Amino acid sequence: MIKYPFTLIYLISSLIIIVLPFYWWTYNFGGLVVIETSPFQMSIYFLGTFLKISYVISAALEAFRIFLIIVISRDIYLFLKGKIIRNRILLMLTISYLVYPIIIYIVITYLMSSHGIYSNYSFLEIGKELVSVKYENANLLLTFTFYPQIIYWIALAISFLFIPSYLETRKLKK
Amino acid sequence: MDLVKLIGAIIAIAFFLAYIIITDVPANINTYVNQPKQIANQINYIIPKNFSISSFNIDLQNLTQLANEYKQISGKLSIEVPSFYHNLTGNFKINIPKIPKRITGKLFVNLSSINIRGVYLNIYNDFNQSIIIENITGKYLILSSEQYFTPMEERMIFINITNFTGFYELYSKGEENVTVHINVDGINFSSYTILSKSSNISLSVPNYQGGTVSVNITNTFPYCIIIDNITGKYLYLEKNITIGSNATSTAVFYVSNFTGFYNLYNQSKEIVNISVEVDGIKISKEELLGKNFNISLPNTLGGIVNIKVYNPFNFTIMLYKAYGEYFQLESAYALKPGYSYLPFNVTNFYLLYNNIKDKAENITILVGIENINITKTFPLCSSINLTYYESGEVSITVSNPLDTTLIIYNITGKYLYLLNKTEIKPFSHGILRIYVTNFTGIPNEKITLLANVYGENISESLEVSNSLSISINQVDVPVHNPFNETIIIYNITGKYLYLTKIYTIPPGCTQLLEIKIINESEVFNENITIKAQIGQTNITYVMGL
Repeated sequence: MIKYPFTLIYLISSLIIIVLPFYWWTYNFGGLVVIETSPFQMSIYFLGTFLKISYVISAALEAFRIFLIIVISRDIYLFLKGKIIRNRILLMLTISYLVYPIIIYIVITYLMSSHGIYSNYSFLEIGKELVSVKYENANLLLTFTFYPQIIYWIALAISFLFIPSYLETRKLKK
Repeated sequence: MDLVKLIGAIIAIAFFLAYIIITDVPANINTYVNQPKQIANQINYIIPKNFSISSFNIDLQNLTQLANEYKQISGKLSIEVPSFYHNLTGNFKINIPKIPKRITGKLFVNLSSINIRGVYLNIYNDFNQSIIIENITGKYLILSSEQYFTPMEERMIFINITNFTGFYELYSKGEENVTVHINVDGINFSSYTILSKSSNISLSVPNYQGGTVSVNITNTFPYCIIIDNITGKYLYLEKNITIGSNATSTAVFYVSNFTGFYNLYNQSKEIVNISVEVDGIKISKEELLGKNFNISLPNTLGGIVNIKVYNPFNFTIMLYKAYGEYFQLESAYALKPGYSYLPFNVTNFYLLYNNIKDKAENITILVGIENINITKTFPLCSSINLTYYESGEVSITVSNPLDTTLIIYNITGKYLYLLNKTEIKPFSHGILRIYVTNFTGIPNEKITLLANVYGENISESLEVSNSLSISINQVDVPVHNPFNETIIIYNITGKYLYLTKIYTIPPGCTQLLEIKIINESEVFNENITIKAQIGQTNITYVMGL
């Protein structure tokens, strides 16, 4: 009989999510720039062409994935030995994705104003937004589409298991 | 930091470093940085460039001017053909060889035996011809019936004696004359002999036999002839013969009756029907077969004949071509005012003569009067009225100012059309040969031009005024899509141009955008708006040409 079932499920699910090679979010800037990303891999397409820099970024992220697999595996091992474990990794990763659109907004707004580009772009967290951009002689009408993949929703759901996990371990800590 | 985290961090860093080293990231750093820039620069490809809009002129000023000028001109161009030898005379020398005219031979009549009723005669026919002994008569002798003897036949015949005593008395004295009546081929002869134990009758009879005779015929005509047939009363040609010019050939005749033939021939009364063929022309005529066998045959030869041509105008005109079925002008001539004699090449005098006689020979002339070439067809030996031009060919020089070959397929109007497709090389001149069916209709005529410029067919309707200016009001602009996204070009619009339809350019492809230009002189002063879509992005781009 396992003492802390939520913690166990949380830890094992976290490991599975980290191991799975799926993208979490897709950021599509009118088809001109498409970014598919997860904390462990990234693909950037510019005007339909895959950018080679994606490989280097992905390599760094894959290294991060390897590091996390080792750390979570160690935590699972210690947990099964009876040690109380509080692992916040997945929670931090999933929550951070809710923050990224804010960063994107800040970056885009900065770039546009510094290049004299006028746009009606207002903040977009998730979903679609029609953005009109005016630059010199060109008028662009872009559809910004930010949406998560199913794997992200699963990861987010799993990361919320941290709360019961935290509660059950805290209770017993007393 | 515990030990496991440290090891994990080291492994992760080692992985990343291994990747950087294996793929040689520092060496490729420029690629990573420049790739987005290169892609961004490719956007220039999809902006249409090289809008070269040109126009070219076809100057039809001459056409309308000439149409008006020629109304004043009048004259009749006439062509007269002199008489020429359409027949040639010559002769066939027919050398009739010596053939037996008469046949001579003997009839041996020997007394075989005598009795009181009659005499038995042994008769031998020495002739190589059958004979009929119609009668043998003496003072007391009567032949009861005709006797037929084949050549070399010997047999007994019996002759009745009317008075044996009288007969024997004469016979004994050697005074019994007998007359032998012979019929050869229906001709009767008679000869007499004194009947004795051995007597013969010498006869010379006409040769009524027939047979083949080889005859040499010499042809003195200047061309080869074929004698199909020569038929007379007593002879005919067994098979046709071909005799070259001034050559002799052997003809085989069948003579049905040598004597009859000779009698007529010697009196120059043998009329033969002769069929001769010269160059496919068959002539059949009756001629007297004599020692001089003269005949006139059609002149199927060709030759040069000088023909009189009258230029009615007071200026020189060009006669480029003049030809009919059997004659043609040797080369182009400049006809001075008045009469000129021009050498025409006749291919067959006889057929030309026949055509003229039947009024079937037409002459077609191509006359050049300044810039107008006129083709007319009219009967030979008559004149043609050039008073007023209804139609003619006009050559117009057209310059091509474009950097591409200009192909003019057709120019059509109610009263004119282009004679042949004309290609004009870039930056050069070409000549349009336009046929005008009615000069008076030319001014203000509506014409249609079909041409090809930049590989694109254009069709324009225009009005012939003093100068015909044709502009290419459609340009094809190549647009390349360098991206991996489909580009849709919805519209290119300006005040003086527009895109004919929506173009979808798949990734990596190039398409020609067909742009119509409304006013080519103004089009360079305006801004055009391009509406396109790349991926899901709509782009509206304003640019000056």
